[in-house]
Amino acid sequence: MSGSVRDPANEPTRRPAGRLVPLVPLAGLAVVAAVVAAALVTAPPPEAAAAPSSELFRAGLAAAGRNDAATARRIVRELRGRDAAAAAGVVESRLLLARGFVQPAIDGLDAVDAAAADDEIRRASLLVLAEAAERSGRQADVASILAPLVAANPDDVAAHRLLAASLYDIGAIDPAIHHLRETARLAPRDPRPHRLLGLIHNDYERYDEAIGFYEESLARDPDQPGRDEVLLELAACQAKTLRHADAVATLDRLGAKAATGPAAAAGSPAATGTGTAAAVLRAECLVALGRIDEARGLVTAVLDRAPDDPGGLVLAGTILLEDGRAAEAAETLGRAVRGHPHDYVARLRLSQALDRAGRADEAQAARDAAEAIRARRVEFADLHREAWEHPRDAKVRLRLAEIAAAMGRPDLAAVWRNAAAAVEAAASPAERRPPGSRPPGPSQPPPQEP
Amino acid sequence: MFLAVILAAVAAGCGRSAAPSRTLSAPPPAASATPVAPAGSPAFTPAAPADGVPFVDRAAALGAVAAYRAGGEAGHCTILESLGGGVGWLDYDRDGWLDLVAAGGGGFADGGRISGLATALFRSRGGRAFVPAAEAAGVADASVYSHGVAVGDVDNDGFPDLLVTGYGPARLWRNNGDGTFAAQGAWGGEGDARWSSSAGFADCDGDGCLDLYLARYVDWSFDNHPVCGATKDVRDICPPRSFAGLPDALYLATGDGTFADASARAGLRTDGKGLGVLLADVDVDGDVDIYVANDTTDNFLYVNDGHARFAERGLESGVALDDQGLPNGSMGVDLCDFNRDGLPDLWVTNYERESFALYRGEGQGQFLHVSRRLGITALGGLFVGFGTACADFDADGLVDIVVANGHVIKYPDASPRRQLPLYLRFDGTRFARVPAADGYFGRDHEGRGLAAGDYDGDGDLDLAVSHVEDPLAVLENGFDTRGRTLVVELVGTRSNRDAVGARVTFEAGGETLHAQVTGGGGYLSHGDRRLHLVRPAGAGAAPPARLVVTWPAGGRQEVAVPADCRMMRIVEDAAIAPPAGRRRDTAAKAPAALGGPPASDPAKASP
Repeated sequence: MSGSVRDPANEPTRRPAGRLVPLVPLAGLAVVAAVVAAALVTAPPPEAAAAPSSELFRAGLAAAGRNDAATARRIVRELRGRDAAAAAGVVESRLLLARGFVQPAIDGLDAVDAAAADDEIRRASLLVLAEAAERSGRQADVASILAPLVAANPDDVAAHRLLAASLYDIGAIDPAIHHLRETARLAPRDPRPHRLLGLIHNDYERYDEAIGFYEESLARDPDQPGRDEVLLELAACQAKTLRHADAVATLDRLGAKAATGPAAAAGSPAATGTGTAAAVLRAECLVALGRIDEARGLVTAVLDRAPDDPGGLVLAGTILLEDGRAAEAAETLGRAVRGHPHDYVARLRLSQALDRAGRADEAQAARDAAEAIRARRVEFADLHREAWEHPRDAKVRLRLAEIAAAMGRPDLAAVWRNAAAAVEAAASPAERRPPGSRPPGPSQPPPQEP
Repeated sequence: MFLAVILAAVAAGCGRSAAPSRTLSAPPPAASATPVAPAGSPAFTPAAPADGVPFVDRAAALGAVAAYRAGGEAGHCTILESLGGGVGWLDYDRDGWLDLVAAGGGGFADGGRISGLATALFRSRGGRAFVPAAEAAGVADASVYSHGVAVGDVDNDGFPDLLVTGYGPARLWRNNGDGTFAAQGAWGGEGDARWSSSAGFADCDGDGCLDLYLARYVDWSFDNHPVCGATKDVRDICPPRSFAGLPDALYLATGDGTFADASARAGLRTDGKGLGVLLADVDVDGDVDIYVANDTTDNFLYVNDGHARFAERGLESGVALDDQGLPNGSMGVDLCDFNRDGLPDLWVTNYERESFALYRGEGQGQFLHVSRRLGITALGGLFVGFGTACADFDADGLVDIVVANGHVIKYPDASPRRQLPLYLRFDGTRFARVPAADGYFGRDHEGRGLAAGDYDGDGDLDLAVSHVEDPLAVLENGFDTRGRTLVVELVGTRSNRDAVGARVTFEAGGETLHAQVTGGGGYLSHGDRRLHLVRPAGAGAAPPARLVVTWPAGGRQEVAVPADCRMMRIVEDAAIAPPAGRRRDTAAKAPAALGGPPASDPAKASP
């Protein structure tokens, strides 16, 4: 019997701060993916090349992954010196990818003799390919690249992680959740899967579940990158479920290091305990808890620092309205609406203030505008649910993109457009180039070594 | 129907200051929009925190034994089972003691056929016992799976008539005046079998006869029974958004004992999912408006033009949505004046994870959602609220609120199916929940309809509560309210006999209270229509207290209230000429005397 509607105008970005994979545009993955994937499922030739130094290979991948070019290149030279060309090629491609040279990374994998490589090299190749696909928005390719890998290696945490991110990006939520859970199981100290699970459930207004996920994420790593963002999202969910005391307690944790030891010493992000979003949320909770004067002071401080903060203006306007100061409320809320014309609550509250102030015509206009926004919100919420239930529906995703754009959220619109494109690509086998053919357009040459 | 007791502070009014300010500093007390007692007023002070909530369940001891059945054991998981039933207080035999009626519910026969259970009726024996009387009274009808009860003297003969709603045609029972009822087959709405929930009577067109507003819910049937699940393998009751809403109906009395459907003429919307209805003069302009609590869609406020033509202004008035601009799962509704500014406020119970809504009256039909500021939101989000009543149960001069709670689905994950009821006390600034370690309020229930009524005649308001698959409760009010209450019964002669729509001011001890006789209210239920007013402490005999009644027909009548008076019946003075052109005459028959407690009757005082 709940009728809540998610406000896309206030919806958080659908990418978490602690990204599972970076994103880089790419083209022409199908060829390499098909070849390497095929190699994975065929038996290795009886006379495989001499196995490379596995530890060196892994070290090279790690160095490449963190963009340590000097170390990675040294390891590549070493591997080539040992006649481990395949391994060297994969490390080199990984480094190219980390440095943003996505097409050269793919081209480099072209040269990897996947048929001769061992399982570990083939796996690493697929992961690099999949990551490149993910960065370029070719989420459908990610699934086709990694599905055989996961089938053969159900405990491959990197594969699960990549799959989860790509499926989330196209709005295939159920499978994304599955892979996130697998990632969480396989990497018990990694906070990111639960963070993304929290974000997903937050997006879909399943706040109780979101709270559980956020809490687990923080339990796994209290000092994770983006910790304050996680705490703020958790507090917002607690406030939405009317657990205001809990929300305030969560906000009290902002900006303070939770743990001691190496993790903490490695550094938490800069404290954002006094961020305006946190302050406004805290003030809202304080009002609910009867601490009105504290709330007033907090909102005043927010607006002193950030006079156009939409949340601060709306809360200030609300307090003024409740105090019976309609004219001031109308002025304050008017500022909120001028700065953020798609903010539904601001418009609605403004209409009430204008009514109280005796400005009936303006109140009606504000109300009409609010109702138009509400209609879009309702449609967005309905389509949002539909997108979850129909992970292959490109039309729903395109419509979500249109509504998000109309609501002043180009970032969200882009996400849904990409999702629509990915779903369409997955549904269009004719787009796949036959094995052995090169992608159109010039390929970018690899950078010269210093 | 619930009565709103409104105290207007003399010294401190609303004082909405328009002085510009660059800060959010708290306004000075005189300019506060939420004043309560005037500064220094000794008349009303919040009661000291009570030791629990002293309502004691006397149902079994009194003989009021009945339980609402929903048919959940059949395993169909229908939304029909989720509504529950209502209760109503009425003095159907006019002996001066409130009798009790409760909807019986229903079930599912073989093959999924929907069946009804008999309405329960208990006749009071001097307020000390209840005797089952449904059979004898002729209302033990089981033809419809029943939900709500509504009470109104539709023929102005002094005997309350009864309407029972449910999944099927609403049934109207006319009181014969001899302890029995007769089903009125052709009352005007008998042909409409669409699922009805709450109902209320009020004179909407000013003709002196009660009209009827019937809320309807959703278009569920076994032909429209989707599968909804707690999990993929476990079926549960579907939410209301799985169904389309059904249009409510307004029936206007024709004057010949029947009603005519005036829904289209009245301008009713057709997109609601109605569960609660309140008929009251919310804009204090002399006619009765209608507020409808809808489940997951906007609540409606129909503003009356005086002739039963309504403009739906919920959004403009600020009572359609919550403070985030979202429609809630609204069920129960009542009127109150928590801040005693003379402006009616609206109270609505909602679903879990949604704050109950307190809409503060701002004047001119405008309201502001103030649940967060007033402590309602701090209750948390674990209650699914249904039946409710706003009244001064402890007679401290400040309104209290009671809520019957209980979940609607079989496998809830956020809050439990059985839930504690709530007793909220206003301290002058915020509402706070009064905890109860034991007793009725200390135990969880699957609560639904709730009605306030003084069944034992001691001047304070008791409660009746219906539960799903559990015995109903009759809760005796244990607060010490001796000497502080004045019970007022209004009897219309030119106005509808029940005086629904009448407004009263009670001036005593330098304070002024405002009250209304309302129709509908609560959830599926009907409360004691008499006004329960609270005298200020130490009011004394000077200056003399007085009541001023503004009748629905337009007349105004002043009555002196003796200091020792605890109960009075005020009959509309027929000698007062109403404004020209307002209504046609209806004859009000004097009720046949069937005995009853004495009531002081100084009502014939000259205006």
